[in-house]
This record gives sequence, structure tokens and C-alpha cells, in this order.
Amino acid sequence: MSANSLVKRNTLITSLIYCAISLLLFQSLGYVFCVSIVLVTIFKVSTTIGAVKNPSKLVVNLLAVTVIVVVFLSLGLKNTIEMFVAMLIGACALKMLQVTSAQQATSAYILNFFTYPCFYLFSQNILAFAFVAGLLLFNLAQLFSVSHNLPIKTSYKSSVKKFIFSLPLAVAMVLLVPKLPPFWQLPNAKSANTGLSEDVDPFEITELSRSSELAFRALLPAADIFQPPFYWRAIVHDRFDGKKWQMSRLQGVGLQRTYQPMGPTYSVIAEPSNTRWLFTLGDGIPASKGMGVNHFGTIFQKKLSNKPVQYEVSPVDLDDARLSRWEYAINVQLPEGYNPQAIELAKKWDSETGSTQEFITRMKSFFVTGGFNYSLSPPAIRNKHNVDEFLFSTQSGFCGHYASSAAFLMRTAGIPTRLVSGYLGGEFNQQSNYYAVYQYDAHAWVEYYVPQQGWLRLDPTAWVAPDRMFGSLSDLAELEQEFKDNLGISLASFSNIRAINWVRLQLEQLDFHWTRWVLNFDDKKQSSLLKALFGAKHNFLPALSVVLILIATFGGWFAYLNYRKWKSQAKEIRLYNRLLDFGKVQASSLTPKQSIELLKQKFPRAQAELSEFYTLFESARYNTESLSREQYKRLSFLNRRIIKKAKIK
Amino acid sequence: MISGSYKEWLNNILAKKHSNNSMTFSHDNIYVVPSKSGFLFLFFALLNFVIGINYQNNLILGVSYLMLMLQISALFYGYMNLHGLKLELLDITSNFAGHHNQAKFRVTPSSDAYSLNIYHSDFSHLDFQNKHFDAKTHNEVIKILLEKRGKYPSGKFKVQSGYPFGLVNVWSYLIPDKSFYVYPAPMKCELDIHSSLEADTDTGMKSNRADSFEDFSSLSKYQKGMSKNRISWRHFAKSQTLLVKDYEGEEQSISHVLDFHKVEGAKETKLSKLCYQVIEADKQGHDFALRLPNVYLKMDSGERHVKACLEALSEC
Repeated sequence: MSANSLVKRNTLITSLIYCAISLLLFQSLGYVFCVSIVLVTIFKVSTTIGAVKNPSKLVVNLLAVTVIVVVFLSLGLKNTIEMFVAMLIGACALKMLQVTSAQQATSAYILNFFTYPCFYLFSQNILAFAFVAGLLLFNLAQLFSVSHNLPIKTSYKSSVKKFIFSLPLAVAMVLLVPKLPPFWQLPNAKSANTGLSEDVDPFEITELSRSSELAFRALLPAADIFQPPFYWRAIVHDRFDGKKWQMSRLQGVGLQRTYQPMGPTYSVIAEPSNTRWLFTLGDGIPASKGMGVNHFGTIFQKKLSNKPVQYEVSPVDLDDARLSRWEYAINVQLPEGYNPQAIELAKKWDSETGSTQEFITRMKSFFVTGGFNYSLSPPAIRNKHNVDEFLFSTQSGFCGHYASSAAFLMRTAGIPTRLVSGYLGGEFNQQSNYYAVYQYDAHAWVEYYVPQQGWLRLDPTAWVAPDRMFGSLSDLAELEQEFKDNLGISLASFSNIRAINWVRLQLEQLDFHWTRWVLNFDDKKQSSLLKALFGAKHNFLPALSVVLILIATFGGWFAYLNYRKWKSQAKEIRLYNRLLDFGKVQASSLTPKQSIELLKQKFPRAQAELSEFYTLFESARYNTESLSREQYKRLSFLNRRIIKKAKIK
Repeated sequence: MISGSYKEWLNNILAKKHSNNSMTFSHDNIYVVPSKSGFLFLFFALLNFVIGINYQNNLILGVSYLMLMLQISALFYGYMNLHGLKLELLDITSNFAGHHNQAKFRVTPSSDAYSLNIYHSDFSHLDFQNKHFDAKTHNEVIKILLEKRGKYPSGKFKVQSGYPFGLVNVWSYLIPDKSFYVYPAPMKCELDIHSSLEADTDTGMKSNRADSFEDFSSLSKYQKGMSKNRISWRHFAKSQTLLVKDYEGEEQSISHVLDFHKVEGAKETKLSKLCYQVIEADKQGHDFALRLPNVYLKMDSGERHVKACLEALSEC
């Protein structure tokens, strides 16, 4: 195949790869950009099959300007990293239109070693890893192909060998080379996953869109305090505007209160999401870097990350028995002129009961006996008096409805109350001892304040659907059908088929170990690994061992290659060369006979042996029959003997 | 000044190591460095490293280390590619200026060698061949293009490879002791017989009369390089042996001297014209002598004589 058609074929494949990458990053890079890349790819395909002429430099430059404008307008300056990656992919895709020579193609393929890994800025799960690793391997083969003018298939074989040789060394380096802290702050890519929303507005939703995506995993040590139900607090909402519950202004404010430790630390590995608010069982303070704890004792990320983050939490008990005046004011605030019926009802209960506890009991009996039912697809409520409509007319809803109405009633009665959203439950993985919490486990409940006792949890949903408190939503038998209808097609929706459920759990576990050990392999984990490997000398040995491993590997490999080459020569030639080396004879311009004569002059004592050596050598080289084993032995013997005699002098 | 003396020093070392008509490349005469592409590759590895560290992204960090390892191992692969390869210069042909001189090599790799480029490090223009050689003996012809006539030492031949991935530059030299000539480019002109006739008596040069087979004094055996015009075809028809007619006495043939001073034009033009005349005279079967300012070649004919004349013209 000619060099030109090889370059053509390779660049076409690469164009298609760029197109695939852009489409996979569709959510981050935006559809405008993706469409323009698809167009560029179509252009490339048509030039390759000859439907369109190769574009001139001017055309490519104009296209480049267009892509820059498109990227700028669609992504804007805010999404720095998305813009950067989009520009890079766009430039690469356009370059593919222009490449004609092997030299240009080589540079493009080298640049791809930077372009492809950018995918990891957006996604780092096992699939993404395998995808990019495959791309890099293929890119290496393409580099081989264009730089040596070989068909892709042959190049692929040679490249795989070299790739596999380097891979374990690279892994060893990741494990052993000391982890450096970041040099400087860089903007992060935004995660495509959505997590909890910062405002709770249940009434207008007719169908709770629930996804089976993972929210986080938790490793809980065996201790009495970790007993189900697991209420994972994330966001506190304390402002009701008649329609939705908004996130508290104190959500991002640091903790000022004192606290008492409660038990052993547990760790949580949170999937990337678009909010910084992380998950805490009750109150907790972080034991990891980069995390903060807010006024309510829940943990948040100081900087939004787009990869799974692992953090350690020490469960604590906040000293929150006192409530300041302004906090009290915030937590009983209600908008004027909403839900008159509910206000009336709450006022009636308030006058009939003497304590918060009695009020709650009253409210509970109202819910339990009032014919409410739990539903994932309740009717929409567009009425201004939404709580009224829910309480007295529709009476069907999910956690948001119940928490929202309960909080409204309690605030009306003057009980400081706030809405908390987070997750409830989790699926326990027996093999690896962790809880997996999914997006469909999202939940909302209420916290109310009792003087001298502090803030207490109340889950009104549990009055209507008591099973919801234990286990995951997926375990709820009555709601199974409804739940699955809402999930759409995913492995979780087939979890009643045993084999599929087994596969799902295995994948889930693999992903758990991947995030825990690969993605979150940080300086802390590294130092504990190094301690285990090197004991007390772990401070200086790892760096040394990297150097040693590299030297040993490359040295050993080099020696092996040399040995193999040496071994591939016939034995008589090796012996002959050894003699020449020993006698320091420059033999390249001499025939063997002349060289041996020269040796005879140098070592007159060994003349007889040299003659015999030459006879054997000659017959080995120029006869069709090879030497017998004895003759080879004799040859070696003569060789040793000549050298011995020559040394005597 | 310093760079000049450094170059000289380097050339001396290379000459000491590589002066030979045939070489087997091994550890003490193979040079390996990352190529331009290799440095670009390392630059992107560094960029990946910075990004991997700043985002605390182990996967990108892994890619960066992988690239570093690939580059290091490429150095070894590149070295082993050339190692054990035997390069032997068989011959360099002389040719006219503007035409290619050909250096004939014999290449014997000890195992498959990829993407080899063999060229003259001063005279070849670099059209990269990227040839693959399997472990057999191959004959390879290198073209050398020179515009200026003269006698050239064979100079430095370079064998180079970018294998693998073009990330490395592996090379070695062969500095043979042979030399070759670039003859002046022939310039068409008339074969200057008149002037040669004038010079007849004092120089005693002559050109033979091919058809006067009666006048020869004796027959001798044909040897390679003798003018074919002197072959006695009659004898060949009879006895199948090639015999050459030896002529006696100067008066029997036409003298023919190609004289530098009788040709018009500047020096180079003169030489080019003479060059043409030498070839033409040989073609027509004349014996001729060549008079140049610094040398005088006696009248003769045959391949060897033509070659001597052309070489003299080149060196003039």
C-alpha cells in the first residue's frame, strides 16, 4: 500500500474516533459543538471517498474560525475546561482534513496522546478507562503505521507488544512514585450527573424521575450506632416561599458549635455530581482533606470535583440544645396568605395539645387515618394553596409532599422546623461490606427543635409507608411495579431475574473497588501501601525502588535482547569472534583464513590449535553438513586452549 | 571558532571509529537519541503529568508514565533494530555531473530491520526510503547527486532509522576509503579532428583507421578494455577467437589529439566539451590523446583509457 493511501485511511479512522469522543461527551460539550464535529467528519468522509475535493488551506482556516466561534458561543467562558477540550478536539478534527504527508500524520498522532486522555477529565469509570486505553493503544498502532509505512494490522501487532511491555512499569510508577500535591488550581469539568436539587418543590411533579445511578457508597464499621434506618443528611431547606423549600443560607457556612464524638469513623465514596453537598449519617465532621462541615453538621466539598471522592467522617453529637433568636425566627417563618385550611387545622391542634410531642402524635393520627397513600406518580398540584390541596383533596404523594406538609403544619404551630433532603437506605453488598445508595433512594424528611433536646428527626412519610424506612426503595414490594415503571430500562429494572441481578451486583462491586483503589489512590493510601511494602523505611525506599525497578527492568531486558541476538549466531562464529576479540584482530576486511594467520603470528605457541580450529571452522561454515556434537566440543575445547596458551606468554 | 574546532574533533573521532569499507554495528558505534517527534512526545507526557497532578487524576497520571516508559523502551527497540546489521560498501560508480553516482552496498541484518535509511551524509538529498530488511543479504544502491566535477573521497555514509514509532533517531556511519569521480557534464560540440591533425607530428598521436585491416603488423589476443574497432572480425568468423590488430608505424593512422588549449570557451566549458569529445571519439572508435594543462595522456583507446581521460578531466 502506498504511503498516501495509508495516511488517508488512518486519518479517516481517526476522524471517526474524534466524532465518537465528542458524541460521548455530548452532555459536557453541548449539542452545537457535537453537530459541528459530525459535520466535519462527514466532510472528511466525503473527501476520502472522493465526493468532495480536498479543502484548501483557506477553507480549513475558515472552518477553524467557525468552530472557535461555535465553541465560544455554545459553551462560554464559564466552562473553561469544556471549552479547552472542545477546542482541542475541534482543532484535531480539522487537522485531519488537511493531513496528507506521513510527517504531518505523525505529529497529529503524537498530539492524540494528549487529546484522548482529556476524556478522563469528564469520566473515570471502568468503561471510560477501557475506552480510552483502547484508543491509546490503537493510536500507538496508527503512529507505527504512518511512521513506518506499514498496514494497520501489522502495526497493531508490533505496537501491542511494546504497549504491554510499558504498561506494568507505568503502573508501578503510579504506585511508587511519591504523590505530589497539585501545583496550582485549575478549573474543573462539570459533572453530567445530577444529584439532589437545592430546592424542594414536590407539588408540581407528577412523576418522580428516578434513576438507578449510583449516588454514593458507604463503608460502615461494625458499631452499635450504625443501625438502620440510615438517614443520610445532605441539604437543609429552611425557607418556604409558598411553593418550594429553598436551601438554607447556612448550608455553606462553617460549623461554629461544639460537639462530642460519638463513635468510629466511617468512609463514604461519593459519585461526582453537580453539587458540593455530601452525605452524613446524623451529624459528622470530616476527617479528610478538602472537606468542610457546615452549620448543620453535614459535610461539603470545598471544591466541586468531577471524579468520585472518598471522605472519612467522624460521627458527632452537636451541642445544639440552645437555639438563638434569629435561628428561631428563620425556622418558623412562613409566607402570608397561603393554605388557609392547613393553617386552621394546625391552629386547632395547637390549641388542643400542650407539647410538641402531642402535636406530632395528633398530626400522625391525621395522616395514618386520613386515607393517604404513598405514590411515585401523584397527580400534579398547581393550586396556590398546594398544601391544602394535598392534605384535603389529592392525598397522594411521595416523601416531598409529606415532609413539606408536615413542616408547614408544624411551623404554623410555632415549632421551629426545617426540611432535610438526602438519601434513605442503601443496598448492602455482602462480599465487600459496603452500602450502595442510588439516586432513587433520595428522600426528604423533617427536623424540628425541642428546647433542651435540640433538633430531632421526624419522617412523616414513614407514617404512610413504614417499609420505606428500612432497606432501599427497591426492596418495597407493594411499589415494585410502579418503581420499575419509573426506572426505565436498566439492569436494576430486571433485578428480579437472578442471573441479571448477579451480573449487576458483580459489576457494582468491580466498580466499587475501582473507585476505591484506583481513582481514589491518593497520598494517604499510597503511604499506607508503602508502609505495608517497605515497613519502617517507607520514606526513602519507594523512590529508590522506582529507580531500581526501572534500571533492573531495562538492564535485564537489554541483556536478554543481546543474549538472544548472540545466541542466534552459529556456535562456530561465536567462538571465532571470541578469538578475534581476544586477539584484538580487526577482522572486517580479512577473510577468516587471514585472521587466523594473523592470530598465529600473535600467538606462536598456539599454532597447532589454531590450525585445527580453522579446519573445523571451515568445514562448519562451508560444508553442507553441520558439525557433530563431538566436533563442537572439540571446537570449544580448542578455543579455551588457545586463549589459555596465549595468556601464558 | 569553538564550534568549528568541536566539529573537527567530532569528525576525527568518527573517522577513527567508522573508517572501514564494511562494518557490523554494535554497542560502540550506534548512536541513539530521542527524535524531534520523541521530544514532542515527551512534552505531551509532561503536560499529561501536570494535568494528572493538578486534577489528582490517577488515570491521566498513568498515561503520562506510560508515555515515558514507551519513550525509554523505544530507545532500546531502536538500538536493537540496528544492532548486528552489517553494512558493506561494494563500489561507488563515477558518473557525469548532473547524473547520479551510485554507491552499491550489501546489507546483512542479523534479524529483521525496519525503516532503514541509508544515505550519504553530505551529498544525498533526503528522500527517506524507510526500507525494511529481513535477515538476508540485500543489495542496496544509494544515489549520490553532485553538480560539481572532481575527485571525491567516498565520505561519510549514514545509516539511520526512526524505528519504532519515529520516536527515536538511531544512526551510525560508514566511512569507506574509496573515492569516486564526478566527470564534467558533456557539452555537445564538434569532434575537433582538424586541430588534432596539426598536432600530429610533434605529439605522435594518431587515431586508427578502423577499416584498414590490411595494415596491421600482428594479431594479439583481445583483452577487456581494448577498442572493439580493432577486433579482427575476419579471424573471429574463422576461428571464434577474438584477436586484435596491432598497427605499426605512426604514418599509417590519423593522429588525433584532444587539446585543452584548442577548445573554445571558459575552463569549465572547455572541459565539458572535451568530455563530450572523449566519449564521441570512443564511440567512433578513434584512438586519441588528451592534452590538459597539468597532464598529458598518451594516445590510446579502450574503456580504461576513456576512464583515465574522464578522470583527468574531472581532476583538472
